[in-house]
Amino acid sequence: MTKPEILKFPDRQVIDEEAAEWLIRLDSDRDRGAGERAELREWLSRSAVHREALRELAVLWDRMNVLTELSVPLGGQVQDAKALPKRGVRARFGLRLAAVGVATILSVALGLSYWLRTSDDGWLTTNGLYATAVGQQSETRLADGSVVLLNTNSQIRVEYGETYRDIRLLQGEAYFTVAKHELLPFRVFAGNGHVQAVGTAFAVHLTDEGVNVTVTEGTVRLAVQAGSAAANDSPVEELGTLSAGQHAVFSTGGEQTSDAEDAVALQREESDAAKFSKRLSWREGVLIFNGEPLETVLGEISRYTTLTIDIADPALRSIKVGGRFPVSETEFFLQALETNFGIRVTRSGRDHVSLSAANDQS
Amino acid sequence: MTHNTGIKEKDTRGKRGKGQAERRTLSDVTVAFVEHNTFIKKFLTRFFSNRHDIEDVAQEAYLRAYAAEQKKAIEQPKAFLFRIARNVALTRLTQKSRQIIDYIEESSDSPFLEEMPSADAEVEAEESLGLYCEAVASLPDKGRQVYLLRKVHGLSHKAIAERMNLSVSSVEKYLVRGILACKTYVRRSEGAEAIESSNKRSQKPTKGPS
Repeated sequence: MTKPEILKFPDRQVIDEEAAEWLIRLDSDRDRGAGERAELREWLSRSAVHREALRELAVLWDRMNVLTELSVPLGGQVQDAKALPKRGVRARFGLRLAAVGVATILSVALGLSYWLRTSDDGWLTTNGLYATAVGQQSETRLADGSVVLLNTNSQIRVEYGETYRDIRLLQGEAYFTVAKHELLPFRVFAGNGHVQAVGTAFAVHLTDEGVNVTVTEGTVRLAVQAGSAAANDSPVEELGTLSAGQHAVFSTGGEQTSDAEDAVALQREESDAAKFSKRLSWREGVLIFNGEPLETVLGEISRYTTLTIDIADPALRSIKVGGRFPVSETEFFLQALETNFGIRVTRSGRDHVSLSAANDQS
Repeated sequence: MTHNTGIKEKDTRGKRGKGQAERRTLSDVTVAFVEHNTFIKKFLTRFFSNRHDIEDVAQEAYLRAYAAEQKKAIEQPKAFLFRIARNVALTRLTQKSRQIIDYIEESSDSPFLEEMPSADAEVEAEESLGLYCEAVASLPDKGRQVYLLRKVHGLSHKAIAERMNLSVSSVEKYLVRGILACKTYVRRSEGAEAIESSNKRSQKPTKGPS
């Protein structure tokens, strides 16, 4: 510890700087002469601190290659390279920088907390309509102890009876944490799909395309009703079961009953953990994106706002966006697009927004 | 490369209308590769300044595209080729940074302190994307652009210099500052997350054993 040579070591900052210079030198395309290797060898031999400093940077440099996920797909790029000279290319590049910027800024405003609304009233008082406005989320504890988390712009009707616990998802998306009750089946009806829980937590999302079911705990049985969704006792066709970690989509064809059976297709998907938690991140008030195109991101975000957001400039659609976004801060999101990315946000009327590349249209 | 030239000759004949039959025997990908060969290579100069690398990657892209075509018809062979060329280029980027690590380790006479964690590198990478975005976003304007051109788009130092109207040495200075700032950023946020868990990773020897 008292060895005199310690004093000769330059401080850590200097070592780090030298290490970074080495790294970038190795990263360049220049030929590495034998002399360079000798020099590197000498530098590395100075101390373990030197060695670790350089290796640490090299590992980070390597890991940061994951950023290539944010790059715009080639199709557009090639065309542009041909058609537009530098200015256009640079403008678009600015937009991509901006995409990263937005992700960052938005990630600051994270976290929504919910008040657990408990009602200790009787069984029947739990029945009725529950709804959220666009951009709103709410959590409700029902009389049996089950908890329903409603996402934006959603509606359910709770119909608990003496021998069943039925919920109708009329619109939007809801996440259910079901209190166990062996004698009282817990069923969710959405479209003509029908989900029955066996002590379970799961999400149901009703979209134009069909019914999405994502199971986080236990098992659910899936079925469709051939008849009108309103009739409890029309014939039911079992589609199978889903267990934790699985996700399925029923595409419920037309409303007409004639060949409802054929119209129903079940797509089951075993999703990996990352995808899975992403799909359900709305429960934390956050949307997670890992390099999805701006178009997809806007599609998700538009569920949480009354604004209609158009991408006027097709080149913007494929910009990839990564990061975490608070679900209900749309204005903030737009502002960041505007100030950071050179995306022009044009508002017409009270609730229409159109996005274009500022530089291309000036 | 000789393979390539052979195709080219055949194709030229085809184009002149003499050897239609011959031309028809060439796959769509092959035809596209020949027709756009110069363009593909020009495109690849973004990623590599070394002619040898460019030839290499162009060939690899062609071979992969051709192999893919054997399984399934390619609808837009040109776009497909470019996409593959870009993917190959980006893969090389990863290989390159791995090589740097190896090179550093080989160039050291003394062993490094710990094994590098690499088992679940992929999972980790996925989770790190957001963090790295933040780190890069924290860089000052120009530095950020340079850094992104290198790490997001895989452009060579030279290509970045041309595009941004800088000298190669300024580009490299920006990269030096960029990686240092990113390291500080990442460390700070990792430290904040795992402060009470083992400090092993961030703990650096403070004494020179040599």
